[in-house]
Amino acid sequence: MKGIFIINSEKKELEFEPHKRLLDVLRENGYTEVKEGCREGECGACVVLLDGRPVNSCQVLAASVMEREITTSKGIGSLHNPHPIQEAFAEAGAVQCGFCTPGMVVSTYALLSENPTPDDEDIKYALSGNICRCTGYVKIIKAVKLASKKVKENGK
Amino acid sequence: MGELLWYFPETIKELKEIITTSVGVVPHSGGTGLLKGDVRKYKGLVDLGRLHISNIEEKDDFVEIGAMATYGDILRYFKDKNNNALLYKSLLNAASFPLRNRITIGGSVAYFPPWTDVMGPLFALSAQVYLTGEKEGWYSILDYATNRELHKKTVVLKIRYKKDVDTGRSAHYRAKRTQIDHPAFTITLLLYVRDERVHSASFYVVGTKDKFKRLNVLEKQVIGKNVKEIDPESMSLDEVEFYGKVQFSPEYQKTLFITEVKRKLRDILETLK
Repeated sequence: MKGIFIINSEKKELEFEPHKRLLDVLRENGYTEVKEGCREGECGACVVLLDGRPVNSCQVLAASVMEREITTSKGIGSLHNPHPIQEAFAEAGAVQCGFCTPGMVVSTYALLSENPTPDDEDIKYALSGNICRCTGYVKIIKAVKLASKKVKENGK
Repeated sequence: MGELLWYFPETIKELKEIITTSVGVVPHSGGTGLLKGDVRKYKGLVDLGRLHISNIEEKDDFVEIGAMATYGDILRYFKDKNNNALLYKSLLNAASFPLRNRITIGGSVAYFPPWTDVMGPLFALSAQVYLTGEKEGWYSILDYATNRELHKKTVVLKIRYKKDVDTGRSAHYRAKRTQIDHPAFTITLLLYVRDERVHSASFYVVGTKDKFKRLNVLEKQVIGKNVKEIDPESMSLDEVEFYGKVQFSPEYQKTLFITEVKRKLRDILETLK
């Protein structure tokens, strides 16, 4: 089947099998920044924004989100034009193997959009669906706080 | 397996026609439950996403929640309005943050997985579900959960409960290993006190061998009693059986149930003394 998706603000017509999950459709079409982890909605590696809200793309049937807005971590900022959140993750040393980082960045973006100055508990709650097996979360929380400061300064 | 067909009704009339005339089609709300298996086993999926049925509102004496409201929508609705609402308390830690933006109340009610955090509270609140399809109208959630006939060629469109039912003292417990774990079972307690006496109570456990159970024995021991005289430790409990789950053995669940139901009741009573 074919469907229109608005991915990172661009209208895309994609062909996919009717049973495919959004995660697979995105990755098969080059959006490999969306990572495949558990495929059960538990690790958060595949988190994208769906109409501005974080969802596990592995738990979304692609056909059900046609014509909706999907934002991946690359839609938030790119290598050459990073978003303050992405800068903060690098500066705070919150990236080790980096596999969970795209999902963390997307969840952080959603958090700061609703709550620009989150405290530790707010951060832990908002990132509770994102698992990191390297960092132990201390630096991730530090990164989110740094991101909050940067976003405030940059007005992004 | 043939190719999976998708249907995208935009009106309730279209939905009703698809549901009543097509064979082997299944409603799709959030889809997280359907994805536990291979969706290709279905002939068709009926996406409810274009029906605009995710509204949450107070209507007359009721709180009415559209079937496509996600757990996240419900939490955002109650956050500033009433963070003591039973649904708010029970969904606050259900699933994970991003999953709460996908799991819908209608999907949970229709699918009723044993790990759901929403059914215990809806039973306790004496909620009703509005069905369309071969049956049309409001049905009690208890009837809907126990009568498979009500599931045939019908779709849940909305859920409601009386506003004043949610004014009692409540608690919700999830038997889980980690924060984002599916609960092995949940306990929901809701009781009403007038002049220091419990005048009614509604206690449920979900995730048992029989799917769920109302804790009638326990309820009877608190109704009519002065809250200062209730001692949860000395109370006898309903016989509840669990089946083995990936999280816990049946024996462990039983022990956990006995401990936690008394603990939660004591917590509520403490707030009243």
